[in-house]
Amino acid sequence: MMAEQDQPSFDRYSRQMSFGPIGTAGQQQLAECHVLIVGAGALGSTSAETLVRAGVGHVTIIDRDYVEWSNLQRQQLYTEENVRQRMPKAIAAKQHLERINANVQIDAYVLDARGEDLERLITGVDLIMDACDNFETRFILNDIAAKYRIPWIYGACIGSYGLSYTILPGDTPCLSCMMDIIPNGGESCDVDGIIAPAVQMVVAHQTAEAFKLLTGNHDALHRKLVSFDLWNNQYTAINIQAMKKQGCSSCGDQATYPYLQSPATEKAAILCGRDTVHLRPSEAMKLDLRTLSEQIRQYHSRQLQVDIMNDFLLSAHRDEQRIVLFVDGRALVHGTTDIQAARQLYIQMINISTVSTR
Amino acid sequence: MKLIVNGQPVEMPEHVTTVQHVIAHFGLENRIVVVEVDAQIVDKHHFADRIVDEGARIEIVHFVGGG
Repeated sequence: MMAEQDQPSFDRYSRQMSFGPIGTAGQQQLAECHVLIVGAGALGSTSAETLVRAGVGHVTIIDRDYVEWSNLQRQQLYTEENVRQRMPKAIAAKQHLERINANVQIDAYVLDARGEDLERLITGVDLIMDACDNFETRFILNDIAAKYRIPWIYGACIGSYGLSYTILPGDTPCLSCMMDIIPNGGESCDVDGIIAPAVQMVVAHQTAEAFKLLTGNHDALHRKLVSFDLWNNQYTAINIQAMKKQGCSSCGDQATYPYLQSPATEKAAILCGRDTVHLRPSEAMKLDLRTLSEQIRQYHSRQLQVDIMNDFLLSAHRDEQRIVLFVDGRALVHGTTDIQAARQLYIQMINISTVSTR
Repeated sequence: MKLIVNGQPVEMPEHVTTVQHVIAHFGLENRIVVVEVDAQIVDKHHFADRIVDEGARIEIVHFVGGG
């Protein structure tokens, strides 16, 4: 039996409830809310920890990646053990967060968020936190938010720089209002680096805005595009309300949600600055990784060596290339930016898998 | 010419006379940026013809994708 003082209690929120604008009523509202966090890298892990500690009742986390050594300097939910196990970030985040606050329902999905996934997961969601590392996903997220009229909070960072903006469908400009085209590549933290305080500063803005939205304190919302550079000591806030477009294809009167129309095709993308290709099949699969691993060990060990396998992925290498194959049929091929070479290794793995599941 | 950019005084080279020049001066010409001059947001189609005056307060935010 746990002693009474060892039981989790509502007292854990006492300092937050003593904060006037939240109070006991706000705390109750947080407990009834459902927040979807898209991405569980630096922004996502920091955001998730703040929201779960704060007592948001239900948190859903989506991420397509797994934990690597280069993440640990700033992705605060992950441990060395997670790296050794090649644990998917969404799963590692869930495990860690459940130890922080067992009262929160945490759902984790290892997937590359596309329109159809988000359409499935959006039911009952009160707020979407942007923790993406790319603009393609953000434009999908922007369309989903506009279509279902759910607020979302943009956040991004690089180096010592970061920015954030709270998008309220039907009120503020949306991401498509701000930019006509998806920016290509641009800066990536893998090339330009990133310091943890820049991440935390973005998330501080995002989560403060989240608390205001979820507790009904809409008058306190910032309503400006904020940016900062912690190394060069610059802080900026711009009122961008004038950028809202009546004819916007994502949030206008005749919206067509163009980024939700993506056809179900195989997709290959070079992950900027990471010497990695991400491959996604046209339809999600359900691979039997255990059997695949056995097949490789028995019949293909001259070309392929299995490094590690867990319930979610299998990591193997061939010469300088390493492939991480997920249960849903996606793969990350490391050590190349050559899509054809990556696809060749991928197809070899999938073919072995097909044989093994017959 | 002296400008206040993102809250800090900056001495600009002589050729800088427009918002477009200011953006280029900071190496942001290929980025998606939002610019405000003296508390007024500038439409991106007018970056090249919007003149900046001595002492103008300019705020520049550029979008990034990392996270």
